[in-house]
Amino acid sequence: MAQLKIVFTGTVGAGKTQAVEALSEIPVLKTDVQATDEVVDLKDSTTIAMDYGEMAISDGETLAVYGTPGQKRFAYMWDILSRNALGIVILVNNSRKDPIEDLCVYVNNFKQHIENTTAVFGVTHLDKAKNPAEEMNKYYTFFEQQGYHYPVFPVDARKRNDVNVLVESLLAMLEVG
Amino acid sequence: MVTSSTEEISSTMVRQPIPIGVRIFDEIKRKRLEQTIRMFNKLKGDIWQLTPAGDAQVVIFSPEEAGGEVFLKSALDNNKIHPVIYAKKNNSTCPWFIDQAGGSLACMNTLADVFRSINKKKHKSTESSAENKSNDINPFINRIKSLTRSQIVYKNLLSIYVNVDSEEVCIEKPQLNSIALDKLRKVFETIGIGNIEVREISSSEFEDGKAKSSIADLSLSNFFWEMAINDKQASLFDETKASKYKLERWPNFTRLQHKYEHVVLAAFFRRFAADIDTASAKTGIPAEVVVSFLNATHLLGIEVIADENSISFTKEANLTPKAPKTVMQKVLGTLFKEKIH
Ligand SMILES: Nc1nc2c(ncn2[C@@H]2O[C@H](COP(=O)(O)OP(=O)(O)OP(=O)(O)O)[C@@H](O)[C@H]2O)c(=O)[nH]1
Ligand SMILES: [Mg+2]
Repeated sequence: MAQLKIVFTGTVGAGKTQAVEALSEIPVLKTDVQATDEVVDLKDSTTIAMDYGEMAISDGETLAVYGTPGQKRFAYMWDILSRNALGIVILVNNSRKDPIEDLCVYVNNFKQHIENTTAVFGVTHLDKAKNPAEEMNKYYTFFEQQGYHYPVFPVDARKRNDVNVLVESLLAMLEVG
Repeated sequence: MVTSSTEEISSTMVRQPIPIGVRIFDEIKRKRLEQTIRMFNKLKGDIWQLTPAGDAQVVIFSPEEAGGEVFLKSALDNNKIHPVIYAKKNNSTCPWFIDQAGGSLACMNTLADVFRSINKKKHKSTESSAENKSNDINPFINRIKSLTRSQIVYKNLLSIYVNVDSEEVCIEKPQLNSIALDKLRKVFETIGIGNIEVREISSSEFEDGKAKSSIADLSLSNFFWEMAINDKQASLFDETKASKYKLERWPNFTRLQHKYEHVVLAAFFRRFAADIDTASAKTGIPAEVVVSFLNATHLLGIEVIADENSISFTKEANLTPKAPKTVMQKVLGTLFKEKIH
């Protein structure tokens, strides 16, 4: 049987690597390199291939937790990493210029995977916004317009509780079908 | 159940429950009275603390029982104790009397009077000190405060301020529809803040009042959610008892206390419109949990009554999970195991 896995994807600096680290019981295998491009103002390092973490779920079985690169120029990794995943977690960095536009990039690129499995969304970097509740309304409205029944939560990828809720709701989505 | 008399109870000025004892030797009557006191507490917040009669400030007793008359005399002489007569009739000068034939309602009404009287005395003794007064905040308000710290709320729906002086909870007008406002009042009543008025006011009045209030910008969403989701005995708040419900949005689970079954219900009702029994049967989650979940989402204003465009879940249909249930269980086990540490 193929290994069980879930995939964290989403915009640059949204906290994918951080989320994989929150869940993983082993030291995360990272392919972060020093940022030299569009992210250089944002942070020191960026993922170029993947993050890999693991959770032991029962005797010998593990759940693999992957993080994809955020940048579009590494998009060839997205499809490879998502194959046979239980579902996709999409993180959106709300502090970027047009986060809804960003969100659409990932929804469209992962469309097939989302249809076959499911997806949940987390909006990060909301603490930087003046009115986080107002910011969330943008996403709720967008989801409404699109007729999406997927969950979208305000999330801080540095908080284990928030990351847990993303996984929990992914499981609930799978259960309902 | 809540009478007009007990409705007026305000727990202002009372910081600690008042010790109350039942000095009744008839086992059945005593138990009944104690039960009524517990019910009173449930309805009105922890106003009474049941203690042995010797340690109590308020003592319910019967002059018809042996030693009763003697107890009454000493209690009336010693004005530290508030004696409350429980009998068929009151032949004494004791102002507090519970009619034995009046059931728990009579008992609650009398206890409400006793409470108000104690409260008034306390109020008088502390009134002179302005400092005391401002610190003496209604325990309910403290409770609201402690439960509503979260800044990010699901819908910015229930922003309020409390006018401590007039004991009013003020809500800016456009925030709530009238149904939600009625619910809000009902909830305030049920948790025992009788005479706190919930009042809708205009935006400008709201801004003014908020600036003056020491308790402002509270979001009640978390508070209501927690109250409703934990109440397994509640009946459906939505009195229309619509045949089918669905969710307009997901509850904000990163900020709201929940169990996995609530997340499954959210996924279910976000996807399908269904009645309570169908939702319970298809998800395997007990109907009372479905009711408490619908109540909680109702208070957030995200539960809606299904219309003909909704995808209905019929009794014949079955859920088609996208992964084996054993997978969910295994992963959940690890997630929650981790959560404890
Ligand atoms: N203030 C704030 N910082 C956050 C939040 N979530 C994550 N971070 C931080 O954002 C930074 C970027 O997180 P990463 O995990 O490297 O982001 P990534 O999605 O892996 O980014 P790429 O690999 O470059 O696509 C880290 O320093 C995180 O600690 C949040 O909600 N608020
Ligand atoms: Mg990364």
